[in-house]
Amino acid sequence: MNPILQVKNLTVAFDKVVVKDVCFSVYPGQTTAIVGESGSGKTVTSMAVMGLLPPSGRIISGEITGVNRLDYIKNGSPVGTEISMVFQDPMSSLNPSMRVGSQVGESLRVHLGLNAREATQKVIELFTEVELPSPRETLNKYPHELSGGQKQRVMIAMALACEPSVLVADEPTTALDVTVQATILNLLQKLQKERNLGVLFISHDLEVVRSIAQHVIVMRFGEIVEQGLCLDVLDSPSHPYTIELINSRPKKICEGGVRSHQSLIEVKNLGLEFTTSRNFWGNPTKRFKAVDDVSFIINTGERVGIVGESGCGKSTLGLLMLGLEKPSKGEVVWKNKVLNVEDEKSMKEFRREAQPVFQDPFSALNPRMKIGKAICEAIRQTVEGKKLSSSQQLQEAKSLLLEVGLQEEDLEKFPSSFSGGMRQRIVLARALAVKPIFLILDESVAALDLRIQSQILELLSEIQKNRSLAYLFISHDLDVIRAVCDRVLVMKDGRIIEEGSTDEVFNSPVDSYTKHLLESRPGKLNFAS
Amino acid sequence: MRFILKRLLQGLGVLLGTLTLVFFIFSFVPDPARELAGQTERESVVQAFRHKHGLDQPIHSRYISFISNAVQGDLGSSYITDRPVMESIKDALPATLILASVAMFFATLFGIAIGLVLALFPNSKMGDLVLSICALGMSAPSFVVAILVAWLFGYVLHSYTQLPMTGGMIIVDPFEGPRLAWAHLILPAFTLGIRPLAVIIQLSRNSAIEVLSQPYIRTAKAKGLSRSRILFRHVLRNSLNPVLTATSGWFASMLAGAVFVEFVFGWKGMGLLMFNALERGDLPIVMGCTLVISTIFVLVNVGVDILYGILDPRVERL
Repeated sequence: MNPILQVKNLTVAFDKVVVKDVCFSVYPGQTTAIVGESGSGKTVTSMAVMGLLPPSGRIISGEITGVNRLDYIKNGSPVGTEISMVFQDPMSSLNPSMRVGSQVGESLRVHLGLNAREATQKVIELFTEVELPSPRETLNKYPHELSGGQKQRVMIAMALACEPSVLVADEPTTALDVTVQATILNLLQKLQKERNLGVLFISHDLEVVRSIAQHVIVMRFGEIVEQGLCLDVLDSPSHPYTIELINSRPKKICEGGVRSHQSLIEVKNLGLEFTTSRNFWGNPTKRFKAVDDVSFIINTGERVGIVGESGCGKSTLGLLMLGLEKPSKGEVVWKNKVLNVEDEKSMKEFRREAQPVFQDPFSALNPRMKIGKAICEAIRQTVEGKKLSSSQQLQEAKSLLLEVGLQEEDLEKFPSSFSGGMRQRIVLARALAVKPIFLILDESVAALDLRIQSQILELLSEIQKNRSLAYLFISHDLDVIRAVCDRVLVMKDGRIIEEGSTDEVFNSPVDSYTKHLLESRPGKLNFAS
Repeated sequence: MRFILKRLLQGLGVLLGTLTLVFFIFSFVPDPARELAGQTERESVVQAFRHKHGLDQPIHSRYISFISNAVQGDLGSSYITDRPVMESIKDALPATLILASVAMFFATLFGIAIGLVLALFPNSKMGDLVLSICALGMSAPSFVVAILVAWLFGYVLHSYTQLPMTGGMIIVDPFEGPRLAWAHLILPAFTLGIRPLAVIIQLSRNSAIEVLSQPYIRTAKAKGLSRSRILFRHVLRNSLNPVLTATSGWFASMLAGAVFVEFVFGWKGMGLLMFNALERGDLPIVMGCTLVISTIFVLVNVGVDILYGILDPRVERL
């Protein structure tokens, strides 16, 4: 079979070389996947193919050829017609002030010269093809009126509008919920088959790749470490890095620390409502229940997970439990005492003992403060810490850094010299500095590469065991929850719909939604094809 | 529609509040009748003046009659010229409207255009130069600029420009009666427009640079659209919001009269009218101007809220 896109010895440089000597081909009706972690050069490669490199980047050498031996580098990539692209984040990839119908129609009018009526007609056909509900009404909607999955369908319709032969999909489902991810991947496969489309699929997720790709390229530091037929590479990897990648999916990390049956934090009928619409006099007419009558208990030393899709209220619940958001009803009981947000003294004590770790380690650290200083600042928040001399504080900070797997020398560095995973370790060390007994981990590993993710999860379990901490792990990722939690709560539309020990819930779910969630996991994808 | 109605009702409240406040502040000034009549005037003349303007009534009934007359379109008459306030405003308002609109229209048009072009070349020498000139234009006070402009274009370069240093919008010709003098508009409008122009250039440049880095612009590029199409269809509209915010507030305050500029150029607009009235303690004119200016502010703000909704469909109307 002749490739419809062939990349030979591609080298791309910004200040330094970021993609080196990359070769691959895309065939009609087949999917070539590039896998790698952040910084591996996979996105830069796709941008080079699309001719969309930022001005600071340039192609040093290599060839990119398309159908009929069209030279992409010399003639410019035929974007929008021969080759088109679907991006990772459908939320920000659509123009917020333009109706989605005209955004898709624009390509048709520009490239195929259709008039307004013909374009509209074609857009309706496309919307039907990507299975958008009520295509005719969707035409006149703005992006913010659509859900994430619907937006991605619009993106796909837009990419396919002028019937390209190659589709570049850069992490097209990473920003979506698992259940939505499965439907979008199914749709992509269906369209690929119907249109005999060559797909260049960029992803960090090996399970997704395994389920849809025929060819795979593993990239690291801008170079290809291994490539070949998808199943060959994934089932019998030869390069150690590929093996490490394959093994980095969260695995069950055994037992936690000492558990007791003493209640540490208890949530009683907790609820939070927002007003979404008001009448003429400003009185609320519609309310949205972000958290709806939730009750559960976490015991000392227990590891509890909350899992749910975006918008289910899991993060809001975390904020309520930390006292960062005032509940509209119900209460939080901390060590058998009702938590009163207005009582500053008891809140101060509570805030020391219950520490949050959030998703984004990049914005959680002050970029102008040395790591040592940031940790010492936290140490001084405790009664014992205040009494320590500054050298003793530094000593304490040092041991904390060692505990989270960093070096002594790192005390003197600024956050900018650390990667995402290392920063999350620092954030963790800072949270531990005040000797908490309870952590709320809100998507704490979601922004990290899988390999780093599993390292942080292991670290977390170790710390939990050594310090007998209790934690609440909030995540959308079922595998993460499974790896590090004893008990799991499944949330949907602000309510807890299933609760039980991790093994019970994962092995024999009772609720139909839980079953659906579990079946949508990438590893479990079953495609009709 | 309900949203607009609500904003208009709120505006009415603002209007009433402003009027009340100004009315009571001016009720503290010393007796205007005695002041205007002079120390030596007979008491009977002063009494007659008081009675004519209702100054012999207690303050609350004066307030009520002022409001009820205002609702019927009667704003009283000037203490000094006895001319109805409505007529003075009818003369002054169009002059200010035209001056401010022309100044703002060209400032916005050129401001956005130049800003967009600068956004395309964010690190160019030319861009830096234009931005420094903008900083200069922004920081120069309008009375200095007004005098400089009048002197330079109206006096030094008069033989080239043929523009007068000062003059209002309407010239009364002894034989042919009143006529419009458009040439008189150029210098004051230019002066008035300089600062908005400088600000709008900077705002629209920064805003467009921000928009250009958004993922949806990358999407537009991936669709294979031409640069100009991306600029006009995707960048322009999304970068207008901050410009609108700045422009609208400014426009409203310009409509209240650009006192310095009107003064220097002798442009007989709202600013000059109010300035003179304040100087002479002519309360009815001050009140009338306040009413008109507040109304303009309210209307401009409601208009801007509607525009926000059009520019950015995500704006919520709670």
